[in-house]
Amino acid sequence: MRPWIKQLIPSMFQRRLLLLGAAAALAIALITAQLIRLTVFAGTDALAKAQSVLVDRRIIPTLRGRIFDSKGRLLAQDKPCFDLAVSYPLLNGQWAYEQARRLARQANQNVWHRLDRTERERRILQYLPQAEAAVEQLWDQLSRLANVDCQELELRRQAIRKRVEEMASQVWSARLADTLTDEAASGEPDLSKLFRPIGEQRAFHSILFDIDDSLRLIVERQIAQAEADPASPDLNLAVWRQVRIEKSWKRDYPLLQWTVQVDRRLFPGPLRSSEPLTVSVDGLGLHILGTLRNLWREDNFIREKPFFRRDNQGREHIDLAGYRLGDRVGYWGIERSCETVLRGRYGLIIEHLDGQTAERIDPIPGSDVVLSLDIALQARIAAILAPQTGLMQRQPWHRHSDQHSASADQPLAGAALVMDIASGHILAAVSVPGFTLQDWQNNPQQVWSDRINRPFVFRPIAQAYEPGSTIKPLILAAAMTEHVLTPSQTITCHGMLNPDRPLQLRCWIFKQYGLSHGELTAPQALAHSCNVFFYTLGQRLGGPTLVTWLQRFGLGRTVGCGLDQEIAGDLPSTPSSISPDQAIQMAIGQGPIRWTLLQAASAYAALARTGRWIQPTFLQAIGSQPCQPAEIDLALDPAAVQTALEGLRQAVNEPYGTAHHLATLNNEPIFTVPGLRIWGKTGTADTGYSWIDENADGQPQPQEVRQRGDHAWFIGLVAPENDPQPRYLVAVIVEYAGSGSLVAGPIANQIFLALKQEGYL
Amino acid sequence: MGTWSRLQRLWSFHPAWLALVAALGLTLIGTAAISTVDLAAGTGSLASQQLQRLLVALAAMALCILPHPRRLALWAYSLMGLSLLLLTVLILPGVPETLVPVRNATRAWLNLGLIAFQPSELAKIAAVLALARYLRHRDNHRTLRGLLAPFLIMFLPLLLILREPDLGTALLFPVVLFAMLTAAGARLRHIGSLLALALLALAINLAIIWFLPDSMQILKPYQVNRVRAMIDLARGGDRYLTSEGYQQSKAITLAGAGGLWGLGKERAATLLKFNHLPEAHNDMIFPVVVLRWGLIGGLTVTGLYTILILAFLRIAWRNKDPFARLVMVGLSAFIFAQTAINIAMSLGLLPVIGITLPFLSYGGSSLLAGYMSIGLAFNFASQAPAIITLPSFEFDTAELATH
Repeated sequence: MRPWIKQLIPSMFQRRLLLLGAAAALAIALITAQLIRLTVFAGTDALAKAQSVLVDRRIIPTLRGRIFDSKGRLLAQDKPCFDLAVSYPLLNGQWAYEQARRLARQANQNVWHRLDRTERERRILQYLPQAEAAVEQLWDQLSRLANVDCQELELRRQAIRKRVEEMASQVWSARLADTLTDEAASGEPDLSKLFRPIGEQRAFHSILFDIDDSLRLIVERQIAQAEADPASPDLNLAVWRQVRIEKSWKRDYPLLQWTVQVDRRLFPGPLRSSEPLTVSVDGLGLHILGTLRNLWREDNFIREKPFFRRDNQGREHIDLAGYRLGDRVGYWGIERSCETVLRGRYGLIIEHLDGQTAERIDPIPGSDVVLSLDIALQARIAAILAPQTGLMQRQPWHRHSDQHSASADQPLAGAALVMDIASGHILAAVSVPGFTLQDWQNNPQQVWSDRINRPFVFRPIAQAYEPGSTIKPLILAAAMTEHVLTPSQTITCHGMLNPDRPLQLRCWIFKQYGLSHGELTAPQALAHSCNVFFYTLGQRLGGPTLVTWLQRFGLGRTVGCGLDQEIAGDLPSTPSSISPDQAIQMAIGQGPIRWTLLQAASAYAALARTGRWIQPTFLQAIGSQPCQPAEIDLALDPAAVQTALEGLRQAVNEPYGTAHHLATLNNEPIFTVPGLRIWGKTGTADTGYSWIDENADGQPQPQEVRQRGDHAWFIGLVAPENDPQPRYLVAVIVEYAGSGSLVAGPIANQIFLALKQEGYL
Repeated sequence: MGTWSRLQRLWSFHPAWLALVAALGLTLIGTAAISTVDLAAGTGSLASQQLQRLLVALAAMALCILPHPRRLALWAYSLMGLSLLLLTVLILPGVPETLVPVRNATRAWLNLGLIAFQPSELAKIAAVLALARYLRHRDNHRTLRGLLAPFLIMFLPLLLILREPDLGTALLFPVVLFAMLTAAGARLRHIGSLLALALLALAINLAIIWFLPDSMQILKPYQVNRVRAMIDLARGGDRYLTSEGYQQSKAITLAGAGGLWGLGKERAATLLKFNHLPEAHNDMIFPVVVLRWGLIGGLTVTGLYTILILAFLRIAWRNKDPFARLVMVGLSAFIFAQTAINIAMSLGLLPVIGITLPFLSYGGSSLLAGYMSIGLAFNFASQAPAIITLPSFEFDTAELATH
């Protein structure tokens, strides 16, 4: 103790008082400092934060735009409906447990705080059966009221739990991955934060959909009773507080199912019948329309365009066109690609709770989208491609080489597309096998992951195939425009390009029959589909010129048809790198070149328009705004186009044409619909085999080979008999099916008939 | 010397008056703040009830002035025994709920039909009186072994209160013990070492809370989470905003929203209503005061407490009677510790603990205990200057003298 203090204050007691007072002063100073910090320095922010709860925002839902086909038929709309939803805790048993816990706690009120965990658990378990019985009774009641089988209800509950649990584990692992990268520097991840329940684990989930009014009234009355008496000890009543009637918008696709009468009088011989065949098609245009899904919390839509966001300064921003958890969003197809158009904007009521004033921003409904599709035509084509007709089944007269692959008796896979040549509008596009909306809703995983049938792939735009002979008209037009072939010039086929090397670059006729085509004019060469003729053109054009022309025709890039699934196909992006040998192969549609049905159709349509390429599209109009497809003049020599079209005409109409008759069915004609003028080209594209790498070793084993053989092509142009200009284009591909003329030709014939039946021809 | 002549001395100016004025000021501010809470709730009549209780508390204060200080010292042990008995009744198993109701999972109340009160409030005063009586003519607390009895006196009620469980009130007892021992002249190195030990235990527990998983905690889970919530809030985190940190974050926000001058009654009530601050009338009354009257209001309140404490210490300073000295120190330590902890937790400096703000918070027992302390201050202030001048707790001069 310093003496001066002792002298100043002689009393020890008083000195001790001062010591205590000093300690108190320290505490007071600390508190005062914090008080000043909070009120003066952080006061403005705190006031803003406190006032933020005074504003109550209510979101007014908006209507998603409708989708129509080109004839004004409604394909998709929002339809109001009522769903019955139950809380997730009720589904996974958490509610029952909590009720049991509450009861146990009530019964052991005086000792509860002294019990350890195990003892509490033991007492809770005594009450659990009681709570679970209440839940069971609810399911029984709902099953009876909604006339849904108890087991069906149980399946739905399991499905929801499975879905939510999978979602949670995905979200958790995404969070974990994020955290591991974020916190690599800052140490331990916070597990309780990582694995906190996701929104779906607290939310209500619909279990009965689109319920009728009588059920709704009964349930609403039950809920109201339960709400009116929140303190009721009756669990059988309380359980109804976990039930909700949710007003929802159901996305309704009214025209997914059609029943079509298929006229079989013009079918190829063995399939022909005077009896029409009734075919029910389901999931019609589903690849094109798409459907909706709900957003989850970690969704990119929410990350990139959030409805509500707080910036670094803590200010709030609301984007009425933004996304919230649980919003519906297009999954694929038009619903996805036109998402921003269809979506619309939320409305908002901002209520100031202190002043009882409210502002209102009205919602803006989404714009309607009109497709170029004619859904009736689409239905007819889907029926033609259905397995029942036999056209998409392996037939003996198909002359198919592969009898051994695993899928020998499976229906064939393939696609067909119809385009209006003048506008580039796609009138129909069918992909088989497809899937139905029920398939998708019940088991999306199966639709996604079926690697054998790949029903989810929309083949007309999302699958590239070797063009085979279908590339030849484009090569001819290019060669004549480039003056490497004059209109009167002929080329002689000896069965092979180079007689010195008879094992290489042979014509198909030599391979099959040991024959040659002899001297051919250009149209004859197309009609015969002579390989030697086009090998020669490929040789003369050279790789760079040839690939440049194919690029002009739209190969090797996406053309922007209005759907996101579209792919670019294969074409070397650097024309200069193409060797002369590759050019020769590419001239008959083999080698490093693959295109989609859409690319093939738009290239042929450009030929039919004498060199004017128009962007093919599924979209006719968005809102009241017609879509303007892009146009490119390919600068083709009109004489070259005329020669190519003459070749296409001969291929169908002259006895020597590859698309003239069915060689294995008594030479009966392929195209039998009267009153039509038809141009066309077959293709039988060598494609190796398809296999599924089941043991993931990167090497195909014999048992992994699914299919082998050639893709069968037919691309045809058609007009009424008295019309010299092609009006519509029909493109057909059948995978691993063999001959283009035998397999694809008869299908195209039926599509011509369908066009006629629908009044196009 | 008769009681009357003793009381006459009170009419002259005396620090006890200062304490009373400060206490009344605090209670009035508190009542006004409670009326704001009433307004926010829309239906409440807590403020007028609080004024009625003030009258009861003032009556109790008057009663505390009456007995002679010597008699107080005489009663101290019996009073202590009584409060220990009452505290035991609270936690005895099998006591009917009509007598000991469970509120907020705590058995802190004794319901005597006409009135209900918290025995722990009585225990506070009784413990101070008992410890003062024990220490008043002693010097063996200047040895380490001699500290055992004072610790016993304080820890008996502490343990009983902990069993209610009421951690907040229990925590006050060690603070008061250390303050009284310091005043009574215990060796600073003993007190320092014991404090260091306590701090070490605290630090170890904090480390356990912060670094070890839930399964290895010593405190109850909700207590662990409150500490975590406070640390997280102080670091600007949002993990506990809707759970354990909710009350504290709302309290901090609302206190801050008051700014320099505070908001009007209407505005404050509106913010209070829609921000839903739990226990706004009770444990969390201080943020309401700051919301309503801003930093100025907050400083006024802390200023009034400072005046009250200083007045108490002044009475101790001037008094020569060792019993009176220690009682005044003990009472001011109780009031100070309770105030400081309450304000610190409502401003986010300490984890949330259920503890009221003396004189301000709504609640009869708390008010009663507060004004009884004031009454005791008057009582001691009315004491005639002692004729015997044997110095109390002046050990250094005594030791010097023996040298």
